[in-house]
Amino acid sequence: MLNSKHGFVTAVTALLMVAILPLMMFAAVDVPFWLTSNQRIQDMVDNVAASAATAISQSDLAEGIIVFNEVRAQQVIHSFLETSFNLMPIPAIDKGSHRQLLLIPETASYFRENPIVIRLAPHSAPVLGNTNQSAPIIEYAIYNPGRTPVAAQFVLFGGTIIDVYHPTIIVSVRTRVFAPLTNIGVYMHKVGIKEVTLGHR
Amino acid sequence: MKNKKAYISIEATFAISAILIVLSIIMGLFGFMVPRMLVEKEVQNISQLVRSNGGLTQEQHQDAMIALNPYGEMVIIDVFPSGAEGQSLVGVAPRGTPSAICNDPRLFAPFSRRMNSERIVVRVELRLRAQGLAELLNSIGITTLDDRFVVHKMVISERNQC
Repeated sequence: MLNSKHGFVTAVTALLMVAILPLMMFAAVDVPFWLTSNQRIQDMVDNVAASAATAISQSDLAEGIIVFNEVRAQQVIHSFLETSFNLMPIPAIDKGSHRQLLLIPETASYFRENPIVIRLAPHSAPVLGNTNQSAPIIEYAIYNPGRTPVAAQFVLFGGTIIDVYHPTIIVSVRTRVFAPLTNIGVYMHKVGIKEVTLGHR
Repeated sequence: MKNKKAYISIEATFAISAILIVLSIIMGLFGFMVPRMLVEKEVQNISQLVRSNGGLTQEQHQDAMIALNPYGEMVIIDVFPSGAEGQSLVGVAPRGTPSAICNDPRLFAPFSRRMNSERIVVRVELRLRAQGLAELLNSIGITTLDDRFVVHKMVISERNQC
C-alpha cells in the first residue's frame, strides 16, 4: 500500500497550488500596497512638517518682522493630518495638546482602530515616542526658542536623538497598515522634520 | 560523445511550470509596482517645488511633464489652492523676478503667499505605460486593466516675495 504511487502527480500539483497561489497573490497585491503606503505616509508626514513650518505671525509681518506663530503651526498640523489620514476630531475631549481623533466613516485611511491619539510633545520633556509600541499614535513637537537659538534634544521613537537650535517642527506618525488581501498588519513609523525659515523669502 | 536517451518526468514539468509562473508574477509585480512608486516620488518632488515657489513656473511645469513622460501618457499636472480648482497656480513668476512684472497677471499667474497659509493641492493624473507582464500581454493583443493613476499631495507655500 505504501509503495503505491498512484495519484502522486495530482498530490504534488495540489500541494504546489496551495503553497504557491497564496504566495503569488501576497506578492502581487499586498507587498506593493505596503511599499506604496510606506512612501505615501512618509510624504504626508514630510509635507505636514514643512507646511507647519510656514506658519508666521500676521500682526508682526505687517511691521516687517517675521515671527514664527506656534498656535498657527499647531492648527496647520492638525488640519493637514486630519485631511491626509481622513480623520475628524472629537471636540468633547479636545484637551489641546492631547486630542483624540476618529476615522471618517466610509473613507480610506491608514488608521483602522478608533480613537487615534494625537499628542503634542511637551516643551519641558521633548521626548517623542509613546511607551506602548503597538499603539497607533500621531505625535508632534513644535520647538520654538524665539529669536535666539538655544540647543535642545528630541529623542524619537527607537532612540534616535535629534539636536535642534532653531524653531523646528517634528511630526511622528506610527500606524499599522493592513494588507488588503491577507489583512496582515505591518507597523510603519515615519518622522518628518523641518526647520522654520524666518528670513524674507 | 555517447548517445543517451533523455527524459523529463511529469513532476519536473510541473515544477518548471510553477517556477515560470512565479517568475512571471514577479515580473508583473515589478511592472505594476515600480512605476507607481516612481510617479509618487516625482509628484513629491513637484510638491516641493510648489512649496518653494507658491506654484509652478512654466519651465518647472514643462520639466515635470518631461520627468513624468517615461512612466505614462496623457499626463495632467494641476496645481491649485484647496477648494478653488479653477484657480491654477501653474505659470507663476520664477524666483527673483523684478516686482514690477512679477505681480502682473497678464504675464504670470499669481503665486500663493506664505502669509495667506492657504493649502495648495498638487494633483497629477496619467495613464501608466504597460510594463513587464502587462507589456507582454499587450504585445499579443491582450489588454490589461485601465491604468489611470492619480496622485494628490498637499503643501503650503513658503514664498512671500517675488
